[in-house]
Amino acid sequence: MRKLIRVDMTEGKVQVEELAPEYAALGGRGLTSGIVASEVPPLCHPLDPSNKLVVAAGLLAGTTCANSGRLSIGAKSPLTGGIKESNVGGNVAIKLGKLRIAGMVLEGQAPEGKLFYLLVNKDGVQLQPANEFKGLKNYDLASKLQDKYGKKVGIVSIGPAGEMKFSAASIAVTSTNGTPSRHAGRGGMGAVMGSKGMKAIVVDDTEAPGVTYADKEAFKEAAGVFRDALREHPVTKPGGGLAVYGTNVLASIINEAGGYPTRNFTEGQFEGVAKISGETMHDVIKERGGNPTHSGCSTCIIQCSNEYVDKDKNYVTSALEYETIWANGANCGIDDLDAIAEIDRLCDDYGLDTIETGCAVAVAMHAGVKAFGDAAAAIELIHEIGKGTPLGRILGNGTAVTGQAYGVSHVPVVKRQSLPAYDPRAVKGIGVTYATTTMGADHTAGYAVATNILKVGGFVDPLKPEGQADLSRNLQIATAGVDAAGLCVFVAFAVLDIPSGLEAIPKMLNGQYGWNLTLDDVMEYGKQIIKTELEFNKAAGFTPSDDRLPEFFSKEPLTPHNVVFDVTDEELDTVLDF
Amino acid sequence: MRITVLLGGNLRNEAGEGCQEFELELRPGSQVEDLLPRLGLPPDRIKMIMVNGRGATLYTEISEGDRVALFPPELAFNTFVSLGFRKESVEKRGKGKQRA
Repeated sequence: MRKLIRVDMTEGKVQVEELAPEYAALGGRGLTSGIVASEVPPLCHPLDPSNKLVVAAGLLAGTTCANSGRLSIGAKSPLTGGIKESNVGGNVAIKLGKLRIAGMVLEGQAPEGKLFYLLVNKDGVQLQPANEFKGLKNYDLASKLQDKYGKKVGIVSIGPAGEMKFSAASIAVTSTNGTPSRHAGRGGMGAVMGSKGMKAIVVDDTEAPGVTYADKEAFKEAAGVFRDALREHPVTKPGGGLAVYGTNVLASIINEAGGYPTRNFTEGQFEGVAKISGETMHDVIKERGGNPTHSGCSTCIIQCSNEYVDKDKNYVTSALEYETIWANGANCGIDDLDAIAEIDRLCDDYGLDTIETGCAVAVAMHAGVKAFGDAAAAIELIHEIGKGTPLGRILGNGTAVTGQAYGVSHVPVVKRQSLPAYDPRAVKGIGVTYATTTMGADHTAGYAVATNILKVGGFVDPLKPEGQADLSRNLQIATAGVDAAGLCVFVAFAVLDIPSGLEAIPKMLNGQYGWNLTLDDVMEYGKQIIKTELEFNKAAGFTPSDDRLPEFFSKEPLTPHNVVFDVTDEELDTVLDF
Repeated sequence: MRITVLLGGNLRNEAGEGCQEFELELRPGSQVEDLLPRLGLPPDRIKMIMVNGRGATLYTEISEGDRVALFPPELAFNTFVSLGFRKESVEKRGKGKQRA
């Protein structure tokens, strides 16, 4: 029986309970959204004691399933005002799984000025004072906690941005290499954790009991088939596309397709892309003796991560990814990869969503605060955020706030969350996802897919409106299922082409829990999660008019294809109408 | 006629040219397919094809000043984009006919 940890920050008390029957079949995003929707008043202020921060491992966490190490963090978002699940890799989910902990719920609020951390291990859970850690950046904090508890522990933490309750504040999770370089970035979860007075959660799985299996043989067989699929597919296999180039390999592709948002979404191609592409990054890392191939997350065999070093071979940052490089590169007109790596490191240290931060900086550049392309100026702005100066407070609260402060109308957000690295005018399917997902403008919510789930008639041209609603709907449903299992979205690329891999997913769940799920059941499960989230958002005040892209996307043609976003409002309203 | 070629991922190391982006002279009336022997690339190394940023097939005809981008199977992973640019999707849409 999996356990749920409840921490009452107001009373300073911890309770470990059996997972209630209504939550027993839930994991990952299913559990975070389930608890938030049941227990958080939809009209609460997200920084008030009545909001709850839920940290949940996926259903397969702690098993030998490949790529099952994702962690979900959920709450009512201070950025969007709606329900949020922010997904992150690293080394913590597997430890929670082995400790038989389904999740942790932070409730209430510590007394003003008091800061705490939580220690979770085989002996139980302890709330400890953390005043000595106040103001620490994530790298320093991780180092101190590792000195105290050992290098192998998992750490979930906030930096100064979370302590200052910025809506762009992330929650850091330690990577397998011990650095706080994996982030639950989107939606300001760091601010919620900061509002509760929790600085860090340390998870130590030494001598943990390990996962229980209803039918271990059946599980192992399915896990073997699943692993084989990942090892076979050219994208996910050892030495495959993701292992060699990381996610940034998309830069050349998306730029070529004319959908690489440049200088605050004013153009679709960036003239400097060759300097920041995945191919270039790979060559630079290799030449300098860094590591272009790295498993940042426990159980991962895809190895999309990397360890970036500077000219003198000093470690700079880990997991320099497509979105980060785009947001702080092309979207700001910056083509200096070293500067972008520095920005990634600063965001990780201060505890900031690199997407929201890069987009906020781009809007500031659009307003003339700094010039597009000025990398040194961008770095200065990140430091302003970290220091909490008045300008920093504007930027640290995200793209919408920055746009408002400077009277900019060209602000690329949906539900006040900034758009990620695909322009919706040239990649219309993802535009539909941005508009309709419960999460605000989110690229991963409707990103994963599996062939036989994708019941789209005909073929989906990214430059045309036809077929995009169906595509987005099926992807969003499948992704919710993947998020609940705790699987990395990238497994979808393998199971897209290798059906036995896809079928192995319900088989692993059945082998572990003794259930009788089919693929259709997993899809239904995904639908239920989305329905739960939609209900919460409706009660929080969202209406169909919030499921729209900013107007300029329908009016302003994007170069080079001169396209606008022309999926109709009526079609958008059909996407999650199930 | 003169065209520009972009080779994604490791294709830039596998092709004869040895670099990612370059210009090439081609006979008028050429199709994308005609580039492959020129570059020393077998067809199974090509999964996504774009001509001037739009989905294309091996049989798409190329014109003066065009830009042809080729990406290998290991890079074809962005669902929303690759579905539109994968060889098999575009073939089924009927863009470009195989020569008799």
